[in-house]
Amino acid sequence: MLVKIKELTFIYGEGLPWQKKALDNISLSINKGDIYAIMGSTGSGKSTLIQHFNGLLFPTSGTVVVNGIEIKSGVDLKKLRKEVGLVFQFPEQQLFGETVLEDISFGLKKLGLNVLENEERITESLDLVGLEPEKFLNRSPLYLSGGEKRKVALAGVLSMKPSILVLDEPTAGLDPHSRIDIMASLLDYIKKNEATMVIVSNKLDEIANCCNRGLVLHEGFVIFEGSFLDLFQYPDILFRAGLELPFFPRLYHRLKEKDLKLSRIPLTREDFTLGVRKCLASHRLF
Amino acid sequence: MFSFSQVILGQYLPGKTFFHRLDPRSKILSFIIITIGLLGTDKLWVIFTYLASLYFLYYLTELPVKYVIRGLKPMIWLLLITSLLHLLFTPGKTIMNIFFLKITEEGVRQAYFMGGRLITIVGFSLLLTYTTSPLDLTDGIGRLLKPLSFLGLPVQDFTLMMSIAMRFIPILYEEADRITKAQISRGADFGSGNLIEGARNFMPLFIPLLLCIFRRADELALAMEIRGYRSEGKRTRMRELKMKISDYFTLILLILLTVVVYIV
Repeated sequence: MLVKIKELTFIYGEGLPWQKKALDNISLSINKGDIYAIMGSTGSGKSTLIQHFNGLLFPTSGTVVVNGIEIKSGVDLKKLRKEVGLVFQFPEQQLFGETVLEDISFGLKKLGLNVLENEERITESLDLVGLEPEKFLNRSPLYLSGGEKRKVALAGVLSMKPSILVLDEPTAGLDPHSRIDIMASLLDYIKKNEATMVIVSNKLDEIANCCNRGLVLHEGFVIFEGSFLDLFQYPDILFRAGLELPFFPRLYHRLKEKDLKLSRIPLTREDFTLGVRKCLASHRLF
Repeated sequence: MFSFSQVILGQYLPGKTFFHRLDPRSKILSFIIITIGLLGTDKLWVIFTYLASLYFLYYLTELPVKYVIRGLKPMIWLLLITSLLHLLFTPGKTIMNIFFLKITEEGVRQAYFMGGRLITIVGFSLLLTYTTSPLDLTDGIGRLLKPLSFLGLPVQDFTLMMSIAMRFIPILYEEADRITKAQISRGADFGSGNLIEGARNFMPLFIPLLLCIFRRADELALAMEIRGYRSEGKRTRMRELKMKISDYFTLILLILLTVVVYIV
C-alpha cells in the first residue's frame, strides 16, 4: 500500500474561535500504479486532504502513512517530498525564475544531481509537456501564454521524477486544447515512470477515462469510495456532492429511463458505441 | 515548518459585547487617550492598574485567553529587545558590571517600565482590533481625519486606500501560504541559512507574491473604474456612524482618569 489514510480528521485553527473542521474521519488507501481521483465541490476539503500527502499539514487526529513514512511532526519530510510531487491549483502563479531553465532547475538543485543529469532531466520534462527545449529554455516564464506557463510549472515538478504525483485541478482555467495536452502529458509521465497519480478534480468528464478509483468528498466527509463504474451507477451521490455525471454515463442513464439498458456503463465514445450496438442487436433493431 | 497560518495579529472577532457595540471613533480615541496616560506616568502601580483593567476588559469582551496570547506572541521579541536596550544603556547608579556593560538602578527601572508600558499598549491595541471590524476601523479613522480635508488633504482617498489594504490582508495571507506550501513541495527551505542566504531563500516566495499583488491591484483598479469610481466628488455612505451616550460616557471617563494619572 503506497498511501494509507486511517480516520483522518483535520481542523483549521484548532482551539481558536474560527476553528473549522475541514476533514472528518477520512479513510482511504492507494496502491502503487493507481490513478486515483479525489472529487468534490469547492470547499469540500479536497485541497486540505492532499496537503497531508507530503506533510504540508499534519492530521489533527488519525494516521497518514505515505511510502511507509507516517506523517507527523518530527519526521524528516524532505525525503518524502522528493517522492511526492504536489502540484497546487494554478501552479503558474508560483513561477519566479528569470528563465524557464532557472525555474525548472530550482527543485532539481535540491536533489544533488550533477550538471549533466540536471540538463537531461530539464530537457526530458519539457519534452514531456510538449514544449521544445531549444525554444523555451532561455525565455522568461512570465511572458509565456497561460497554457505554456502551466506546462513549465508542471515540468518543474515532473523533472524531480516523483513516484507519487498529486495534482490539484491541473487543468483549471485552461482552454480545451491545453487541457487535453496536459492530461496526455501527465498520463505519459505515469506510464514512463511507473508512478502513481492522485488527481483532484470536479470535472468528471476529464478524468473518467483515466482514473480507476476515487473518492467523493462532501463537506469534509467521504460519501463514496470505490471504482468509477460503481460511482456512476448512483448519480444521486454525485448530485449530493454538487457534481455532474460525465457525458456518456449520463447518456446511459437517459437510455435506461427509455428502457434501453446497455450491458455496462460506458466511459468513452467507443464503449458507448459498442454498448449501443449490442443493445440494439439484442432488441433485433440493428 | 514555516507557515503563514501561524501568524495572528489583530484579527477581528465578531461579537455583541459592549466594546463591539461602541462607535469605532470612540474606540480609537480611547486608545489614544490610554496611550497618553501610559506614557505620562512614572509610577509602577499606575501601569499595574492599567494592566489589571486590561485583563478585566478582556474578560468582559469574552475573548479566549489562548487567542489573546497567540496574538501577543509576535510582539515578544520587540518587548525583550526594548527592555534589554533600556536595561543596558541607561546611565545612573551602577548596581552590577557584566564585562564592559553596566547595569544601573535606573536601567532596571526603565526596563520594566518600558516593558510594562509596551505590553499594555499592545494589549489595548489588540482589544481595539479584536472588537472592531476592519471596515469600521477605517470608517472611524476616516471620520476622525475628516477635518484635514478642509486643508486640501485627500482624506477620502487615504481612507479608501486603507480600507482596500485592510480588505486584502487576509487574501494576501492565503496567497502567501499557498505559494509557500507550493515552493516547500518543490524543496524550498524557508528560514534556514545565514542572513543573506536566508533572504535569498525567500525569493521564490517574494517574486510570485509581488506579481500576485500587482495583478490583483490591476484587476481591482479596472473593476473600480468600470463601476464608475472617481477620486474627486463627494461620497455618500451606506452606513453612517453615530456616537451614542455610552460612547461619550467612555470618552469622558477615560479623559478624567488620564488627568488623575497626570496629577498623582
